[in-house]
Amino acid sequence: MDAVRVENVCKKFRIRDGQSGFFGQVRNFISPKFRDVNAVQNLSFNIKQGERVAFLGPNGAGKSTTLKMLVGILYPTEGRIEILGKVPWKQRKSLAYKIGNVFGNRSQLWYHLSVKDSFDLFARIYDLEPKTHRHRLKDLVQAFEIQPLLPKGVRQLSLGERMKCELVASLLHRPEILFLDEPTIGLDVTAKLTLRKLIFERSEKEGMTLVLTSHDAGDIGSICDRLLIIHDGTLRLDLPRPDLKSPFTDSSVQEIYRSMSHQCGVV
Amino acid sequence: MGAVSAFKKYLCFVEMGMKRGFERKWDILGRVIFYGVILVIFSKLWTSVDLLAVGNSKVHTQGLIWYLAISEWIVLSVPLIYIEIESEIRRGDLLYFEGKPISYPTMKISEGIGELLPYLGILGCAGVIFAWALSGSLPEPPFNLLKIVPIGILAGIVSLIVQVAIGLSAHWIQSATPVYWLWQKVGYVLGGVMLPLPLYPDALEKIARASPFPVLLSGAAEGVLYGDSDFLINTMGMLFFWCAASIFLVIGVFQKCQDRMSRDGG
Repeated sequence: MDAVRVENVCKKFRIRDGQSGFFGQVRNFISPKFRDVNAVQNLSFNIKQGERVAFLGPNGAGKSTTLKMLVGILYPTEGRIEILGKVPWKQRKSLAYKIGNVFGNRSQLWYHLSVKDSFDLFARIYDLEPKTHRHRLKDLVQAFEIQPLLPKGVRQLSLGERMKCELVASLLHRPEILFLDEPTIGLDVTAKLTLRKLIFERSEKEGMTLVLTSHDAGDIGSICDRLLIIHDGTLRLDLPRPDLKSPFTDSSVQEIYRSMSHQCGVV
Repeated sequence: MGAVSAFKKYLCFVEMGMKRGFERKWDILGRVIFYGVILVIFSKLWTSVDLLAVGNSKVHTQGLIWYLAISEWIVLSVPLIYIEIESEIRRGDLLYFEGKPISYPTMKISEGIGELLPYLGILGCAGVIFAWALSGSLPEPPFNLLKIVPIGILAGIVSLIVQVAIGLSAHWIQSATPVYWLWQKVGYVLGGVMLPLPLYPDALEKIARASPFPVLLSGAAEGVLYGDSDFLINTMGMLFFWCAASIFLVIGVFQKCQDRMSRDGG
């Protein structure tokens, strides 16, 4: 069964076309000009339940926009999206109980609370029974080895520690699909390896579908079994894992992306 | 989602807000000192001016001290939640709350209520001590002081709801502070914070009575000052009306904000 169905999705953003200089600023103030930017164009793909899929593409390719449409916080200008049989932007709240998300550059934890209090708050937000929450938290805390972090304030965590906690928070309600937007951004090599291993193991153990965006070939190579290359808002390549192996061993993303782009005639 | 489960969900934000409120002991202390200072200044001012001498028999100095203590109690207790909402909008964080099974405005209001309660409690006790010491007596009948507790809580909640709408305005104008200033300054004038509305010129009093400010800021104080036996019911009734109106305002503003965010991004 398909966990994610995307058909001919387009997303346009209306952005202000600002002019520079003093008179430009005055003109911007008096009569601002706008133009439409196509962030995503005719995007179609399906993701099966339990699949681990990565979006790869340069900055501004439309990966994060696509992910935001999949979790329902942005709606497409055209096309159709179904996540677990629900239309994400229309059934956003009920879908939220079935999906989890981690945005690498945004924290979903409450910075003025301790890690434990933040997790308890998540349990209440997701209507988890206290007993279920206790068992689940115990399991995740052991797996992610974050026991010493529980009494710490969220604002005192290092980036690597915070990302582990973000993942635990997004897994507390046992989501069927986990959306990850650059989950290893800014982490050192060791922290990246640990996080990749944890994400992969959790997905294997729980049969959880993974959808992630990243610039890091390592994330994609060690977690995912399918790669979607997006460029200029369109899907250029859809590769299963065997095809990933050779280019993704030690190459940098730019090299891989360049070679992929040549293959599909982007450049 | 059942009503009980929704109630439990938002109750935990009230608890979180209370915890935050009690943690801000230096802010509370600062407000208590400020509260005491303005009560001393105004009590001296009214004693020197002698309102009876200027031909106004509607009020007396002791009553005015209690009046100011009660209206300032409400003004000083309400946490400024619009600032956090404004910064969440400017950072683009509001969009990400949309992916959670929770209503952002209700969450903010619940958190604000939690912060409001310790402030109301501590400043209320301080206000009674200050006003009693400065006026030398309790208001008549003293039981009226207990009646203002539910009024203070509800007036604080309505102010918080309005602040959510003000904070959300940052989505269009970047900074919600000018909107808050407007609300605050008009509130000072029309709310009768410093002087009771019956001392205003008739036309200005009529304009003020048509606005939500008197009931929010000085409804409780007027009840204590004039000893009206029905003031609790009347003021609570008006506060419920303005509470419903401000909820509709927040729903409308948030829906516009949501539409724009989902279309154009955070």
